[in-house]
Amino acid sequence: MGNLLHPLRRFRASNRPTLLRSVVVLALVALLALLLAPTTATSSPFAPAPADEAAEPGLMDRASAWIVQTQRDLHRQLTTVLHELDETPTARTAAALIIASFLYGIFHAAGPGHGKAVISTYLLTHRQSLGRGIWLSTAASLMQGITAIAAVLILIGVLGWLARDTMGQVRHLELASFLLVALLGLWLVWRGLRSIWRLRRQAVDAERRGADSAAAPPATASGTLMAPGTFTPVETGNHPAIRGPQPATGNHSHGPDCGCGTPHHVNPNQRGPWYATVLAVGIRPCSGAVLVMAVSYLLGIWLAGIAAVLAMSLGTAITVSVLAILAVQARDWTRSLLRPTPLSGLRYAGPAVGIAGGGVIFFVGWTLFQGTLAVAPVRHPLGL
Amino acid sequence: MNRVLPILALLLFCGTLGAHPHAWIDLRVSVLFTAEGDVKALRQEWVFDPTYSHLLLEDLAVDQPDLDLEEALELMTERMLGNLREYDYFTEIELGERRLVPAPARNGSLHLRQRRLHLKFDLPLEAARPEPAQPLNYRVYDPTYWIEILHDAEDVIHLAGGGGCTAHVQPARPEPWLVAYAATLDRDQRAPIEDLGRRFAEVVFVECNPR
Repeated sequence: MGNLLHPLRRFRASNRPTLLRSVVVLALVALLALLLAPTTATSSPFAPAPADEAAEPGLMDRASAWIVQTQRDLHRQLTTVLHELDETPTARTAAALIIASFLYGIFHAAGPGHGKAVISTYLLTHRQSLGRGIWLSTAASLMQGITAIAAVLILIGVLGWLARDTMGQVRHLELASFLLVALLGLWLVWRGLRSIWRLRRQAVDAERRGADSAAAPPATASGTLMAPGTFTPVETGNHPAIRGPQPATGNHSHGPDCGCGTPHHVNPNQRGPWYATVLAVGIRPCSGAVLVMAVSYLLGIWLAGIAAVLAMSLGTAITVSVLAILAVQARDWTRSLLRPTPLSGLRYAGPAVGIAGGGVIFFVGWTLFQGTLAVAPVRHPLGL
Repeated sequence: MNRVLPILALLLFCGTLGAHPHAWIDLRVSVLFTAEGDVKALRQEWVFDPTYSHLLLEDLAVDQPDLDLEEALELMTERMLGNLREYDYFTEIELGERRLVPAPARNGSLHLRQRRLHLKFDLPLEAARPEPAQPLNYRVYDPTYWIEILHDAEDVIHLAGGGGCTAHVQPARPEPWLVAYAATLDRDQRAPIEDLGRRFAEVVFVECNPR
């Protein structure tokens, strides 16, 4: 993990112009925020584009057409090879199936638009090491694959359901996932509030102790208390806890068990949200994986199906990990950008950003939950 | 940074295009003309992908264990075309600006060949001459985009009896923001999400020389 962090340190130490960096960071954050757009676009479409703009395909159009085409080709290849494997079960066909599934997973970047949004928002607003960010993406992607495998083996294999009913069941897992995402958001908000409350109590205690020893009236402490929710810069020079370079939000004293919510590399308190994120994202299987698994099971080549779904999840994990790396780096860049500014001294900045992230995650989960609930499930006219 | 941004842009796209089809249909179309040179029907053949075909047949085998394949396919044809009627058979046809509503499908049939189901049917239309000022255009798409329907790349659009007529396919241009543009077009009160498939649909224009 130390090795993984190393390039970041190097970047931090490099001497780039601050303006450029801030522009880049803002652009990154904006792009990541745009990732949320597909999840909410269904309820509120963007402003309509002028008709004549659609007349000339630009670079973006061609890129998007290329991606659609590649996804399509990989999907068709995957399906074709799967059925070839049923007819001529050779090692070569099996290898082709695994490769096609893996590439499809990379390219198609997982069913979860919302999963990516949740993971990137979480990593943008909550301090996690690069390694844990990558692990988060990988675990969530793998869990999605495993959910798909388990759903098919249990529902079709054990309970003898029809494929179409199994596909219908995906909706319930989807709803569960959205609800869990909303709960995760609430939890993150609550954790942020709790750490702010603890920080404030600590500050008050510290002020009181200082006031007792100096026999001075606790004017500053009451000043802090009078303005809840506003940020209070800490005089770093006076603060006893500063030892060497500290993260921007780390300008306060904390012991190993203070649980103060500005997470550290190995803070065990972050394990809860980490697992919750994996669960919330991973409980929703990709419909494509369910289909592959279902048809493999019915064709009697379920081992090939499991291998294909796992390869697909691994491919997905790579893409989502890239996103996780970008999110962790963007957060890191922002922090290093803000270091020389007075903002870095804000005591409550860390928890406040965490609360904002939790709020966004709650919003995404709740919107999707309500949106999915509002649309009654209609059986597809062609039967599946 | 220069290396990171393209990757990010790529991811962004994948996110935007997150609603992806899970099955596909290769579409083959013949435009049928009357002796006078008017369009009278669209004959369509939908070739389902092998996975979708297999799952449909498996479900039917569990539903109706007593049927043999021929009878099962007949039953499935009826069900499919019956269900599709409500959706205009996933076909949107216009003459100039005017929407043509197809009559119920005729000559429906379903065959299984090389692991793929082939659904054939004719969509009768009110007779009309597609002149250059008033070309006939159609799209065939699943509004939910669960199934991607594209013209078979190894087939052409047949113009049966349409002397002096031409057809050309305008490929789908699924720009991320076209979904919004499509939602503003005048179409009968469908929720925007239902028309997701439309922005990924090919448009075919049929034009004939003036009489």
